[in-house]
Amino acid sequence: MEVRIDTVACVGHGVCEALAPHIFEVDDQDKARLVAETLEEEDRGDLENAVNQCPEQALRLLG
Amino acid sequence: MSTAGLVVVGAGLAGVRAVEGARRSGFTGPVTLLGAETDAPYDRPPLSKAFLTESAALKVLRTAESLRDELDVDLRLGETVSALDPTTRTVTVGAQELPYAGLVIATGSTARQLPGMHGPAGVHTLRSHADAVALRSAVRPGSRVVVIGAGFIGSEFACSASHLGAHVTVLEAADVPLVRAVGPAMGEELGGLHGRHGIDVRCGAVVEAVIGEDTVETVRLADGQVLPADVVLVGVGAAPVTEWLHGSGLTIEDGVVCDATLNAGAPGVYAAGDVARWHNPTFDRSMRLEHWTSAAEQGVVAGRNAVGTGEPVTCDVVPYFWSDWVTDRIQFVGVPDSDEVVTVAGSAETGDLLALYRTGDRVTGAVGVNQRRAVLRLRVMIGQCADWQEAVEFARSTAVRRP
Repeated sequence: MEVRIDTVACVGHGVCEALAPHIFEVDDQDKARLVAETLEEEDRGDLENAVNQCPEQALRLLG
Repeated sequence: MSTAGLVVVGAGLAGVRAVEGARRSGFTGPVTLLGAETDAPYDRPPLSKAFLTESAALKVLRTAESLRDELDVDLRLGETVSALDPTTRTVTVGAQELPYAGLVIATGSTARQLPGMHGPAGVHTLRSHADAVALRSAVRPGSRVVVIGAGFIGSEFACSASHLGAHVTVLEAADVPLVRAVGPAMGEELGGLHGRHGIDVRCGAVVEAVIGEDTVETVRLADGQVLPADVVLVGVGAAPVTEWLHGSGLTIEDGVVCDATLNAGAPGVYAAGDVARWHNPTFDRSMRLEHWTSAAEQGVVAGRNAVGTGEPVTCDVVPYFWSDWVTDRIQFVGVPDSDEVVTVAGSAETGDLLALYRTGDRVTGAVGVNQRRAVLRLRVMIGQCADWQEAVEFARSTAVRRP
């Protein structure tokens, strides 16, 4: 399982961080980045929610 | 298709997310997605912004091929559903009675009109791709643009038109703009943003008539003022699309009335997006939202519940919306009615406002201008029923301050 962040599309709404603060963070350049070192199967629900609710559709979940 | 499966009426964001939610929950039966427009499901927020200012291409949520091939959806575009019969579990599409096992109502909303004012050419509303195409070709450098309604659509369009070199006047009947969205105190505060973008906003301005034979010429106000206009945008809110449900037996009260699981009161029938008025457990009250993220959240829940692969889940939402005024981003989380609104940092005029809404000893809302980090973290706190003092301290320590 892997998550890809399109940092061109991302404008830093912060929806992903609000849904899954243990996985995402919006940095000082208003771009989302991963804070989790590894993704666990138990994170799948949170990740799917973040992907679905990203207003810029900047997230993709692979695997 | 002979076996009744999932039928989703409405191919906007909520409809697409409903299909995805159903498939993700493990549903392998037939899925039909019906859309009244002929475009593949597309994203609406850019239509008042980059679509106009940068001539951006239409942003598709999922291509027709992706829906058909990856999600095995029978995608039927350009088809309007005219009736629902929950007793026979069918919807009427043209001459066809289409059976369903699960149904998601996601017909969205339509731009409200002002009676008697939409006759002449040059008078627009902004909701669909076709609306935005018409406005994109109508607004030119030097155009005289009158916007009726200083809500978010009107304000975003005004900023975009001004950015394109048009002369823009915004007329608002209420004394304060944006009251319904953010409450009176912050409506007045955010009014400062119009000035920051060089937009002339006139509050308390009641429009009496839009005048012009074939093409609009002027807008006349109740106080006798007459404004010349080449383009008029009517931005006075949106109405849920529920006419087709009359006679269905469902309860319609400014939207399809649903319980906390988005069930509309008939077996297998759920609603999502702008059309749904549901009991939001997070705030223990009925609400209807017209926001991007809630449509996405509700769509997933409605799709999953409609195919009944598990126990119905509730749809718990902390409302979130944003509005981009060219370079400034307004973000709001929670609900606008409250006991008190406290400004924690900055102001709208300086582009660094952060304010919190208190109800009892809880934080129940927050609004920010260019305060991206703080606002969405406050969304989490609101969802967790966080203590007011804790939220204020968090906001003070996180707010960005412009020099």
